[in-house]
Amino acid sequence: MASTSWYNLCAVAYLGALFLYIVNLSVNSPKVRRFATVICSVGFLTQTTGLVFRWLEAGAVEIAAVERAQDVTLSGISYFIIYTQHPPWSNLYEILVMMAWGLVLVFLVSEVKFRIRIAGIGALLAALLSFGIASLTTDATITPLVPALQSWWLHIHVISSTVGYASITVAAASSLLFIVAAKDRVTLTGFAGGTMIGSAILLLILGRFDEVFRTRVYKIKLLGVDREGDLVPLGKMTQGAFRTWYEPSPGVGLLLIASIVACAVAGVLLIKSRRAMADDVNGAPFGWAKAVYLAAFGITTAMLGLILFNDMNGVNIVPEELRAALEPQIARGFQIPPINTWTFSIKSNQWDLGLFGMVWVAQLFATACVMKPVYVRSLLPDFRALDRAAYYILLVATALQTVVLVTGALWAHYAWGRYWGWDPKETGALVVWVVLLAYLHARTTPGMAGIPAAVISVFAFFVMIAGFLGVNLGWFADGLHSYGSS
Amino acid sequence: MDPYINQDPSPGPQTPTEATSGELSSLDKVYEGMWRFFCSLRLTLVNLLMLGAGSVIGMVFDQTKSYAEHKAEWGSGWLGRTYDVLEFYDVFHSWWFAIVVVVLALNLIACSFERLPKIWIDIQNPTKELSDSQLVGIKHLYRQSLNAEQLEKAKGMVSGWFKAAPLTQNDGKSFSFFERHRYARTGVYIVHISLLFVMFGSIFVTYNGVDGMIMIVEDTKGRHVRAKGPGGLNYSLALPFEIKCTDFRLKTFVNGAPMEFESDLEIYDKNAVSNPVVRKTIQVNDPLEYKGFTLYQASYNPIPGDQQVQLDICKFPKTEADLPVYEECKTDARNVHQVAIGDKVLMPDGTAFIPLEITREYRGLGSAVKVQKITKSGETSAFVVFRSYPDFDKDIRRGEYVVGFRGFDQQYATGVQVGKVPAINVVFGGFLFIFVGMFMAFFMSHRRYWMRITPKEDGTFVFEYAGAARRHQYAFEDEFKVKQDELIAAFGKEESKADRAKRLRDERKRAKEAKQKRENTK
Repeated sequence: MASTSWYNLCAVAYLGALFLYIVNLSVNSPKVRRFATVICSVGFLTQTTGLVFRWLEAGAVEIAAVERAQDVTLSGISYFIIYTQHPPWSNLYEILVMMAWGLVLVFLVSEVKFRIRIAGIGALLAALLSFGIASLTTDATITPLVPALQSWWLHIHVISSTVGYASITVAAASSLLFIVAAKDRVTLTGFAGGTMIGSAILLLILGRFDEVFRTRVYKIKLLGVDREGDLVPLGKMTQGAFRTWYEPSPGVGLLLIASIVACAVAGVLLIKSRRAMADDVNGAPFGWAKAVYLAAFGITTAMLGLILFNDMNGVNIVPEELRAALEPQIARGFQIPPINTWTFSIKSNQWDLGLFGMVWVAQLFATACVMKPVYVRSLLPDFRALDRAAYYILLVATALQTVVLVTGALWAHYAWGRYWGWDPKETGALVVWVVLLAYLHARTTPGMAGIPAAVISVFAFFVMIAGFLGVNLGWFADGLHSYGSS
Repeated sequence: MDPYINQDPSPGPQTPTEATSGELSSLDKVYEGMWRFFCSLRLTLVNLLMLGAGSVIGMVFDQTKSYAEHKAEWGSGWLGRTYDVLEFYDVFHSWWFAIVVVVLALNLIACSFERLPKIWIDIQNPTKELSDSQLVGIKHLYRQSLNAEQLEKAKGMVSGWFKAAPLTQNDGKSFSFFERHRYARTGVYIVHISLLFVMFGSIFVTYNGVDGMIMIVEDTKGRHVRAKGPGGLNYSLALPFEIKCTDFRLKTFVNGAPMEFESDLEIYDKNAVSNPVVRKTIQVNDPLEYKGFTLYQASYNPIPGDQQVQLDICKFPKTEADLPVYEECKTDARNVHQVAIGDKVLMPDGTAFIPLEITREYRGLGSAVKVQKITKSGETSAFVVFRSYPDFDKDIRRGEYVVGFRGFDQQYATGVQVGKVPAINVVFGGFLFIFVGMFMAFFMSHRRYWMRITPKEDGTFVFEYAGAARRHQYAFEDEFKVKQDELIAAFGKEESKADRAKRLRDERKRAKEAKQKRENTK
């Protein structure tokens, strides 16, 4: 069976397990929990089988390419070496699939060791998101490895980084829940306030900082054209920087500005009144802070709804002038994706939409915290267990990230002659490592071991998104280290 | 010395004692203040944050652009001047980044100096016998009153868990002590010191190393390397030897993407006995080392100009009978014509074929050549022939002659990356010890178990069993609980703390009353 079919099967299993874990929140039955774990494990084994199949498929592609290029038939040891040198983690599609695999692996291990099941909801959601983005928007075709990647270092370097980054995600989820559960130290109002400040910052980044304020327009990325003037296929990673075409998404700009401002104001108000507002059963009494908060959430929901509405109605289409400008590419045989379909706009914005989605889900969770804090806390396990889980998982993540940095340096030394070049990929990995070290040191600094360390852990997740995915997608400047294109 | 029980390691820095503080001169106070500053963990956190933020700045601004390009982009307004002063064109060698790194190094050194000696002494002199005051702070404790028979059983259980713990006697009491992974406490300092090695090694490499590129055209020699130096400025370095590329070979996939490429290099050294000194074929991931320099196959560039095309031209097989002639013609090497772009191949009947243009990747069909045909009468036509589809021309165009595209010779310049990394072993040694230290710090925990037996006047014994760990408190809690459960199963639940406190209070009260009575009867 083709590997992609195995992956589709396992996504179904993960979805089933996620559903069962959510159901378990209200029924709280050990049978349901056990069943959910079994389904999750079955999904994991299915995915692992899929990975093995993909390795074999990649090997077949490599053999075919070499044989055709050199007009020979390989056999014996050279056949074996070329067959196995292409592991299933060498393009964006495969990396996202590996992230899902790593997330479920880390979750299953921590479920056995720390008995944290609620983090499963977060881990499985993230795994399914990763799978979704992978299957719907990236190119799954296997192409032969470029010469720079034909090395045994590829195996350990990349798998350490995917499992390490998956660990950071699970640990961040655990730390977030710890902040919510630590009832002696923080009120959920304060937590909701922090979430709103964070949302405001993320929305500001999505609006490209001052651009949305200056122009009052939010632009959707439509197409990219790389340095040679070729169209960048949507959803693919490219080598180096590329120029993008943007189209304004009508009406969203003003809503985005309103949302940023409202979230910031709500956040400040909530944090200021975090002690005054008691966490009783129905949340704090109705007041300014709560009203502004609900308004901010409403505006954010409206904004997200409008973006999706515009996408689904094909509002963000390729205008005729752009089509005219792309004539040379069309003449050379490139296909402009079909216009007037929402898949086109969603494909070009999958990362933005993912971030918007994360912001909205976080605000939804914060709404539950503000409205029904006691119920939310009752769903969570003991906060000490959450803290312990986050600590041990981040220990493993730090060790793996050190492996990534060191194997990367050794590989670069033997391939390029310099073990460290401060290019965005290497620097990104270093920044993630530094934040992990900050977490570990905060735990031994008096006064910073509890909530502040947990905040650093959540921050580490966002740093990972920027320093890993962001670097691969070209958010930062060019580097020699361009990840395998396609 | 007190055992560090139930705390994470490392106490704060030493403060001067009361007796001497009044005698410290103001200069000493300054030194003291500086020392405490560099020892603090808060400094570490701030430093790490600044290192991270600085690195992000280096990621956001393209560090591969030259100073002139940066200047052009940012202009000379206040933004451009900030950019200049803060050296954003070369963030990682800027003055403020250097300060962050230096402060981090001082922080590492100070913390290690402060804590390591004490920890070393502590490791060498473990507290084997616990006093009452030391026992107060220990969380994991099992205390029970046992008779002689139970005591032997208890001792047997303990020696069953830890075989190598000898029994010592002191002041009538018996003690036993067992510890594991005591050297794990040095793990943190091994990591820190290794980091210092990596940092100093890297700084040395930055100022004494070479990282450059040289393009050598096939069949020529080269000596001058274009290298990148500190400050982001390029400079030209003359190597003490010459590199000659005798041949460059490129293998591509059918779609034109590079599959494998290699260069045959020769080194010519004036000071050597015989030249060429070394001959080696280098490939990506397989370099050549000479005199401290390492030559890596990094890239290549096709040289425009004379391209030679190999075409085989045979008469079209019009009938069945012509087929074997055609086949033989195709396999005969004499029918392969090596011709340069723009030159023509003249056939006996006056038809001329001229290769016009080579396309490496023709719409996904691989490499192709555009060929022009000029008949004797002067009619011209052009068509494309593909390397991967040798029967294409025969089946599709069906002209008088069948043209096959065998390949093309392209002259290349090979891109050799020249690197010199002195003291690389210092850096790699640092990497190795970071792993060793990390393994010790993360996965090994210093654990101690004490047993104390106090005989009482009535013939029973007070049996106390305690444990403490420096790291992984949760895991140790589980581990101790297993032993505690075994002891409870054997000897019953110990009295709760509240009951014990009450019993001690009652005992003290009775002792006090007895003393009062004795004084009254005197």
